[in-house]
Amino acid sequence: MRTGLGACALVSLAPGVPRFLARAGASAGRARRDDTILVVLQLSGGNDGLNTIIPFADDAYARSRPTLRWTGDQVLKLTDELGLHPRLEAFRRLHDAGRLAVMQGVGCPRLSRDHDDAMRAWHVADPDPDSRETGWAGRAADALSGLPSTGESPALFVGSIPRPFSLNAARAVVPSVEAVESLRLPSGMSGEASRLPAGPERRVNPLIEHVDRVSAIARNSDGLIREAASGGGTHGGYPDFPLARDFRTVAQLIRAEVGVRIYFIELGGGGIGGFDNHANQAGNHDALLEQMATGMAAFVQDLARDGLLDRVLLMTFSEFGRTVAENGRRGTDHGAAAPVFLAGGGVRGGLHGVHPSLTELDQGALKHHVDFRELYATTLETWLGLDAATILGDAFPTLDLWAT
Amino acid sequence: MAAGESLSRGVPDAAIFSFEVWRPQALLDPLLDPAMTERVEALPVWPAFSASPQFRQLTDGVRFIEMAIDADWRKATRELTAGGMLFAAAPGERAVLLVATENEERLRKLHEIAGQITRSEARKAGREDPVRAEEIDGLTRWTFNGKEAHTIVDGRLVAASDPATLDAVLRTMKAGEAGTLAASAPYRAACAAVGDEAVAMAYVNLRVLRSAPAVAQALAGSNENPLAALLVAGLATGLKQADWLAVGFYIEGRALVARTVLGPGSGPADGPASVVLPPAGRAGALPNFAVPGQIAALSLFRDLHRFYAAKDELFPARTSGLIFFENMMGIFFTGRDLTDEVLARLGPEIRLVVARQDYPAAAGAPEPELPGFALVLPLKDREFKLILEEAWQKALGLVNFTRGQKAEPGLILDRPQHRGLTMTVARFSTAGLAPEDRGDTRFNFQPTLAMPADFAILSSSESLARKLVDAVQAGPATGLPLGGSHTALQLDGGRLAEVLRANHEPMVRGNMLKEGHTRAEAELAIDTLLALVGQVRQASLTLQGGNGPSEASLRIEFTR
Amino acid sequence: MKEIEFMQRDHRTAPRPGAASSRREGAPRVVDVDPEWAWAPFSPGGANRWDAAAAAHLLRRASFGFTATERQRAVAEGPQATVARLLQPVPEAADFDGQFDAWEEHGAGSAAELAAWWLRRMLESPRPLVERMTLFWRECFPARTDRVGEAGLVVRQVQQLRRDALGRFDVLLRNQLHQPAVLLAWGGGQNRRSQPNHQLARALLHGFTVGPGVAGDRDVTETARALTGWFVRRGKLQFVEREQDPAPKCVLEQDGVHNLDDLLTGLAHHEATSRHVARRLWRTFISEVADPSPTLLQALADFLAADRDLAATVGRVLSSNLFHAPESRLARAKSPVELAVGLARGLEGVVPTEPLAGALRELGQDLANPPSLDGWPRGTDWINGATLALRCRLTASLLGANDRYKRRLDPAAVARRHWAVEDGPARRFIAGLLFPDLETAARPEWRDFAGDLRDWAIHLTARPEYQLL
Repeated sequence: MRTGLGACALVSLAPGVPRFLARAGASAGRARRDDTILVVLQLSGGNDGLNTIIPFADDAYARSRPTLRWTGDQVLKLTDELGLHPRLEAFRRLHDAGRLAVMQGVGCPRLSRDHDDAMRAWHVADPDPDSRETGWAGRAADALSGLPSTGESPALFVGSIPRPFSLNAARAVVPSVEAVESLRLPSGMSGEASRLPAGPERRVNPLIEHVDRVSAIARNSDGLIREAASGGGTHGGYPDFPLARDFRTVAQLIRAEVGVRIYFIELGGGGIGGFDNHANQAGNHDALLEQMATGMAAFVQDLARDGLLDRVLLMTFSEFGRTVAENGRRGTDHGAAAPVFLAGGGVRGGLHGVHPSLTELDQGALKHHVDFRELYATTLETWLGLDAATILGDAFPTLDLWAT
Repeated sequence: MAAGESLSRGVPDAAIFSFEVWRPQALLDPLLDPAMTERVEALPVWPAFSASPQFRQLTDGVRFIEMAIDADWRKATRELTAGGMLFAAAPGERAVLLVATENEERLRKLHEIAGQITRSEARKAGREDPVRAEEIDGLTRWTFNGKEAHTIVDGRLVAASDPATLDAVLRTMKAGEAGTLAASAPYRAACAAVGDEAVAMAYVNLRVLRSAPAVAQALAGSNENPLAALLVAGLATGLKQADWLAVGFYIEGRALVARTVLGPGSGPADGPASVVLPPAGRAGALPNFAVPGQIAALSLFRDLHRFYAAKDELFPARTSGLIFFENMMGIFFTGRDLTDEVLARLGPEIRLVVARQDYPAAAGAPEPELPGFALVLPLKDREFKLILEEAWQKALGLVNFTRGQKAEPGLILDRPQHRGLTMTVARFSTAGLAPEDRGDTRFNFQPTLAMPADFAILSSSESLARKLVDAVQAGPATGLPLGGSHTALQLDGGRLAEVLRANHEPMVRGNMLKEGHTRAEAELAIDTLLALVGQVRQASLTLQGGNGPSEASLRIEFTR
Repeated sequence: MKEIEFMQRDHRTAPRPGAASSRREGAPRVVDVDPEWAWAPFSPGGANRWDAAAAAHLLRRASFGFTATERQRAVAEGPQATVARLLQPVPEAADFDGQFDAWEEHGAGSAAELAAWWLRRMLESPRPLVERMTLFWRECFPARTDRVGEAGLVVRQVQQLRRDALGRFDVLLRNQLHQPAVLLAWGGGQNRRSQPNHQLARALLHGFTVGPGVAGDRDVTETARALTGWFVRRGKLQFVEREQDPAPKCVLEQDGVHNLDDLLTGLAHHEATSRHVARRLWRTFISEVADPSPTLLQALADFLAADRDLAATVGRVLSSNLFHAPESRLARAKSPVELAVGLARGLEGVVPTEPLAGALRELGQDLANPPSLDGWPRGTDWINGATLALRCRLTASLLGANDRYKRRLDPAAVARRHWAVEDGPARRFIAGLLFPDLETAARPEWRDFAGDLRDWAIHLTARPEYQLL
C-alpha cells in the first residue's frame, strides 16, 4: 500500500541514522513523510519506580520494603546493582536489543504529592499548574498547527478515559478516539468529492482552499486507514488488553500516515489511577507493569518490522513515584522522583542518569536528578523540531538521549 | 404437547431454533379477553394512537377482512391457530412457519384475500403482479413476493423462506419420524425438560449455534467486568457448555411463567462461576426479605472469599476502580488482608433489599427521590462485628473529611437503640438549611450500620435498617427453601411504579435531553412506562445451577 | 500589534466600495475600505442583490441557521426589517427562558447537562440572535466549569449572559464580575487585602475588557487591589469590607479608583475595551480570513462606545454594506455548535442534545469548558484531517445514518412540508436549504443522484464548503 509517497521517503534514509540528525534544518517545505512522531504513555496513579527499576543490592531497599521487596534472585538484572521487576521480561528483551532507554530520577522541584496537582504539573509542565490554561502537549499541538497549514491533525488521544489535560490547547482541536474507525468517513462519503464549478468566492477565500485541501486529506486518509485496519500491513503480536489495543490503534494510524505528530495514550484507567497502590501492591502493580511492558514491546516490534521505529519516539511518565518505605498495608504512598522509559526514535538504549539515593530522601521519597521539563524540552526541540522555550515558557537544557 | 409434536414432525432436524405454541387457547384467552382491550385502551399512548390515520387504516382493514371471512377477528384468530403454531429457523437464513387450523375453509378464504391485497398494492405502486401459484404433486404452492413459498395442506399453513425449504418441509412431513426435529435427541430432551404443562416453548440448539464465529466471539468476551461476572456467574458458563436451551412458557392464574433450562453438556462450572456458586447438593441462597414498603429484593449465594482469592486469574486487567477499592479497604480494615482476614469472615448468603424510605421532614423530598438500599451479610463470627464497626466509622469519617474539603455539608453520627440493639446512623444536618438546599440529593442518604444476631446490615436508609432489624429478629435466620438456587430476585411492580412516579419530573427532563423529545412527547413516554410497570404486580426471577441442568425461572404476575 | 505588521505589508488607502484587498501568502488580508460606506445600511438594488442566498447568509450568522419558512420571510421583508425583527423582544421569549431556567437549575448540575440544555435552547429559542450572542459572550467570559467546580454556578453565569446579551455592555460587565463562577474560574474566590489576586485581574484586563497588549504589570497589580474584599463563600458572592484595600488605585492612567464599581465603570468606558469587543464582533459576524483596518475597526468601536448599546451595535453590523459584501460570505468556519445546530434547525427537528454535547466536546467545543481566555478555536483551527472526518460522521449521524440521534431529522418530511414531493424538486429543496449559495451550481447532480433524500443530505453536508459559514 505504501508504494507511493511513504515508501520513497522512508527508504531515503539509511537505517540507523537518527531521524533528528537527518532532519536538521527542519522546514515545512520538505517531504512530510519524514516527520517525527511522539507517543506519550501516561501511567495514572503514581508508578512505584523503585519496584520497576529495582536497586536490589541496596540494603536500604531491603530494609524499606519488608513485604514488597524483590531479591537479586528474582529481578531481571541490568547491572550489579539494578534490575527490572520480574514481570518486565518484555522490557528486558527490548533493553537487550538496545531499544529501551531508562531515564532515572525524573521529577521537578516542589512537585505536589496530591494526584490531581502533581498530574496537572506534569500535564502543563509547571510545578505551579494553576497559572496555565493549557497543557504542554496541547501547546505543542498549537505550535504544530501554527506552521503553514498542512491541514492535518497535530495531536490525538487514543483511549477511553476523558482526554488528559496535557492535550488542552488554545487553538488546536485534539480529538479522542477509541479505534481507527472513528477517523473514517461515514459510508457513502469516501468516494471522490464531486467538484463544484469554481465561483468567484472560491478564488479569493483562503478558508475554501483550506477545507478543500483538508477534504482531500481526509478522503485519502480514509482509504489508508481502511487498509491499515483491515490487516493490510497490520501485524499481530499484540496481547489482548486495553493498552495493547490502544498501541495497536496508534500503530495503525502511524501506518496510515494520517499526519498526527503527537499521540497520547494511558494505562491505569484514569481517575485515581491503577498505579496508586496504597494497599496490596504486589499483585496489582505486577499486572500493570506486565501490561505496560508487553504492550510497549509489541508496539516497538510492530513499527520496527515496517521500518517505522526510527520515526517514532515513545515516552512514559507518571505523576510521581512512591515512598521508599512501604506502609502497613503492603502498599506504598505518594512519592516524588521516578524513572521514565523511552523507546524508538534512535534513543541510546540502557540506563541514563544515576539512580537516586535511598538514604538522602525528601520526606520519605526519592529526589530527582532530572527535571521533567528538560525531558519535554528534549522531545519538543530535538525530536519534534519545535521551539521548546516558547512552549514551556522558559528555556530548559536538552538531554543527550540519542545513539550516535 | 400432542399438537406441538405433530408440527415439529414436519421440521427437518437442521433447525437450530424453534418457537412453538402448543396450547394457543391458554395464551390467547388473556390476550383476547375484553379486559385486556380495556387495559390497552387505558394506556397513555392510546388516545393519540387510536386517532392516527394508521390506526384507522388498521381497523378498516380488520373490518374488511371480518366481513370477507364472515367472522370477528377474535373468533377467527382462535380458530385459525387452534391446532398450534411453530416457527423454526436453520443456518443460512432458512425459516419455516407452520400453523394448524381447525377451519381449513376459513384459512383458504383468508389466504385468498391476502393474495388479492398483495396484488392490488402492487398494482397501485405500478409493479407487476407478484403473486404466483404453481401445482406440484397435486398441491398448490404460492409465492407472494417471488422469494417465499407457502402452501396449505391437511388444514395447515406451511410457509417457508424459500421454495427449497418448503420442499424439505413437505418431504419431511411425508416421510415421518426420521430426520425430523421431533425425533432429534436434544429437542426431545428439551420437550421433556419443559414438561406437559407448558403452553409454548422456545428451543435453541446451542451446540450448533456456538459454531458460528460471531457467537463464539461474543461468549469469549463476556468475562471482562468483574462485578458483572459476579452477578451473572454461571450463565455465561452454561451458554458456553450446554447442548441446548429451552424456555417453557406457562400460564398460572394471572401470571406468566418462563422457565429456562440449559441442557446437559454443561459440566462443572468454569471461570468465576466455579468459585462463587454453591457446590453441588449444598446450601443455596436464603429466602428474600419481605419488609414493609419493599420494592425489590435480591438474594444471592456467592462465595466472595473464594472469588476474591482468585481475582488474579479471573480478572488480569487492573481497573482503576479495583485499585481504589483495595486502597480504601486497606484503610478501613487497618491493613488486614481483604481476602483472608475480611471476606473469609463473611458467609456466602448475601441479600439486598430496596424499599421506600422516609426523609427528614425539614429537608423536604429530595430530587431525584431514591429508595433506600440495604445489604445484609452473614457474619461467621461475632468478633468481626467490632472490626466492621471500626471500618464503617472510618469510612464515614473519610466521607466527612472529603466533603469538608469541598465545602459540602457533612454527616452527624448517632448511635440510637432499636429493640435493644445499638445502630450507627449518620444523618445530614438540616440546621440552618437554606431554602434552595431543601430537597438536595444528599437527603437520600442516612448511612446506617446495624448488626442483629449473626448479620450485618449496611443500609443507605435508617428506616430501612430498622425494618430489617425487625425482620431478622422475628424470622428464622437460616433456611433452605429456595432449593439450591443461587440467585433470587423479587420485584413489586406497583411500588416500583410509585418510586418512578415520584421521580416523574427528572425522568421527563432526562428523556427530553436523551431522546430529543418535546416536553409533551417526553411526558407521554414516561407515563407509558409507568403504566406498563404498573401492570406488573409481582415479578420474580430465580437461577439454579450445579451439576445438573441449569435453570432460570421468570414469573410475572399481572394486576387484576 | 498584529494588524500594524499586516498593514505594512498590505496597505491600501483608496476606499473602494465592496472591494477587499488581495491576499498575500501566509498573512490575513486587511480590509481597508471607507468606513462610512462599510457600516452604512445595506440597501438592495442594482448589484446589491437581496435574494435567498443573501438572506441565508444573514440568518446563518445571526441565528444558527434557518428554516425554509424563516428564509422566505426574510427575503420578503428585506434586510433591515429582518435584522430589526431578530433584535426585537418577542412575548413568548419570557416564558421560554423562564421554563428553561427552571429546568436547568433543577438538573443534576453537571457540565454535560449544562451543555445539553443550552443546545436545546439554541435549537428552539424564539430569539435565536439572543442565543447567538450568549455564545458570543461566553467566549468573552470563558469560565471553565472544571475550574469553577460547580456546574450550577456556570449555569447561572450563562443565564445572566443571556439576560444581558443585547443590553448594555457596562451592565453586562458589571453583572459578570458579580457572578461567583467568573470569580472562581480565575482563582478569585478570596480577594484578600494581603493577597490581591493577579489571575482574575489579568483575565479582567486582557480578556474581558481592554484586551491583550494594553495593560501593563502595574495596571494588573492595581486592578487586583481594586478587586479586594470580594469573596465567594459556599457558592455565594460576599463583600467583606475589612478585606478591601481602601487606598485609591490608578488603573490605565485613571486615578481615583476606589472599588470594583469604579474599576468596572472605567474599564467599560475605556476606548480599548470598545475596540476589543468590536474586534470580536468582526470575527464572529464579518470575517475570520480578513482583519479590519484600524479606521474600520475604530468606526465600529465608536458605535459601541457611544452608549454601549449592544443591540444597536450588533444591528449595525448585521445590516451593514460590509456584512453583505460578497467577501464576507463563507468567510468563517462553522464552529461545531454552528455546524450541528444549524443543520438541525434547517431540518426543523429537535435532536437529543445530551449525546450531541459529547460529540461537540470531542470536536473541540465543550460548552462547559472553553479552552482559554480567548474562547474557542476559530477559522482553520477547527478543521483538520481528523476533525473533518469526525464532523462528517456527526452530520451523517444527525441525518439518521445511525440511531445515535434517534433519526429526529427527516429531510423527506421537511421537503414534503414545503411541497417538494417528487424526487427532483425534493433534492433541489434540500440543496437550497443546505447550500443556498451553490444552489444553481449543484443542479446537474440532483437529477441523477442515486439514493434517498437522507443520502442526498449526507452527500451535501460532506462537501467541503458545508464546513463554512
